[in-house]
This record gives sequence, C-alpha cells and structure tokens, in this order.
Amino acid sequence: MVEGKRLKIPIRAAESIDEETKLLISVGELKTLLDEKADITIIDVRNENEHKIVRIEGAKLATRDLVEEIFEKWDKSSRIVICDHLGKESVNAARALQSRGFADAKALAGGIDAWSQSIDPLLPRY
Amino acid sequence: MISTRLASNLVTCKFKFSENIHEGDPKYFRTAEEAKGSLVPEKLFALEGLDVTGVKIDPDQVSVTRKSPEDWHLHAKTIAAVLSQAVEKAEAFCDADAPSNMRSVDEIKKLVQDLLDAQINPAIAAHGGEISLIDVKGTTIYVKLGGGCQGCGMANVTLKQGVEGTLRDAMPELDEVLDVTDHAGGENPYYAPSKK
Repeated sequence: MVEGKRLKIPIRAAESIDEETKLLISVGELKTLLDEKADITIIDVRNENEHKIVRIEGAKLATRDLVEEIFEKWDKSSRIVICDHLGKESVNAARALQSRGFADAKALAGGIDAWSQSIDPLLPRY
Repeated sequence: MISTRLASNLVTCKFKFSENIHEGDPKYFRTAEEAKGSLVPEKLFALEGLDVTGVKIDPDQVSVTRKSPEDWHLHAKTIAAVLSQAVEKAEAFCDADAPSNMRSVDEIKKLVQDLLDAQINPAIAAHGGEISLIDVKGTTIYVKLGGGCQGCGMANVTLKQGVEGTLRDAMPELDEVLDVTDHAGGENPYYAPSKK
C-alpha cells in the first residue's frame, strides 16, 4: 500500500525532495558537527542589524566582500552552512554555492529560529 | 527550563519559565535604586556591560530591557544564569513589599488616549492617517491604523518606529504594541488582493 502510494509521486516532485536533502542540514546535525569541532563555517545571510542582535556563536555576516572571497578564494571542499532567520532564503544561497562547485554547502533547515527552538532556548527568538 | 524571545522593540528580552517564579501582581523596576533589596533585579541592574534599564517580574516571566539591542545571544545567557541561580536556590525573585510600579489597565488606556490625542494623531494627520486605541490587555496595547494608514505598506514602520517609541517613552513597562488593522479591508484600502 505504502509502495503503491510512493510510486504515485511525480518524478519531478521526487527529484525536488532529493534536491532538498542535498541542500539542507538539520539543526541537530549542525550541533553534532560543532560539538565535534568540525571545520565548518556558518554564514549568516540575514541583515546586519539582525546579525548584531542575535546570532549563532561564530557565524559570519555575509558581506559582499566575504561572498566574493568565498567564490574566488575558498577551497571548493569547504564545509559551509548558510543560516537565515526562518530557513527560507538560505536555500537559494546554498543552491548558488553548490552550483559553483561547493558540494558541501548546505542551508540550515528552519534557520536561526529552529536553532533557538531545538538546540539553544537561550538564543532569543524574534 | 527557560525560553527566550525578544519583544518587537528588540531591546527587551522575555525569559519565560515552565513554572511560576513569582507570586502576586507583576512588579516593575526602572532603576538600580528601585531594585535595591530585590534579589534578582538588583543583580541584573549590576551586570557589567549590559546597561539594563528595566526589569519586569511576572508570575512566570522576567522581562529585561537594555539600552542597546546588540549581542542578545551573549547577554541572554548571562541573565539566564542569574535567573537560574535564584530558581535553584528557591529564592524570592524580588522583595514582596517592593512597589509594583505597574499602571492599571485603566491608567494605561487613559495615558495612551491622551498621547494619541495630543501628540500622535496631530502628527500623522498631515498624512491623512489616524490611530485609535482598541484595547489594552495587561501591558499589551492593541491599536488600529485608519485613514491613510490603512493598507499602507509603511504602516508597520510607522507603528514600530514612531508610535511605539512615543508610547514606550511614556510607559517603559509596555509589552507589545500590536496593530489590529485589516490592511486589505475597508472600502478603499491601499492594498487589495486580486479578485478571481
């Protein structure tokens, strides 16, 4: 029964689910990586004010200069996590990075809001 | 267990507890002087580099206001440590005899109406706007943006930067100022969804 339902998924929808898993990292996975002191860079694509007010420790603001530097100078194997407020805009940024060869660039699912809710309740939501 | 959320002014952070931490009416402390003798507010005002300007204690929530909204991700943890310590030691958060400094709903309604009549509405009348007070619940104010404000994409900016600032200056203990305006309603709103 379940199999039958699965077969009904249009191929394109199935592809987009596949693409999504390639683009996203969950807050739990990110927490594990940070705890393991993995070499990972969090890039914050919210605006400067939001970044100043509240951010995941160590996250870097995506200034124009930083973005240019990443595209031009960073190793394509760099592990990058893109973080926004609610996990909407970050997917596009991760997609852009992946299309430029950064295979390990992912978007943080649910953004900083999901991080506050599931990982660090003392990181104020807004 | 504490969870945190910023108020819309971004300088106030609310620390919500899963259990009650204070009995009786809310209390509001506006200065270090007022906080003297009340354990938690006194400690919070004394925190270096945080520039705390207000502490409000509700039965299950502490709201801390600072001068600047920056670096809440660090300061919230410092504040939470003070709060958790008081919870662990089962200490009273504040002096039971400290004055509440909280205005009643009726007092807030009157003050808001006076400010709307005397300052806010005359200022926005030039743009054809008008703001009316709909309700006050606790320390949350519900207003309605009418006239030229209705449906305007800048209405939220007007509310947040102008009106809320004026009201908050007069009543720092305010929780939220919320707009109940239907921005797509009325006879001739600025914005109307396309009809099918």
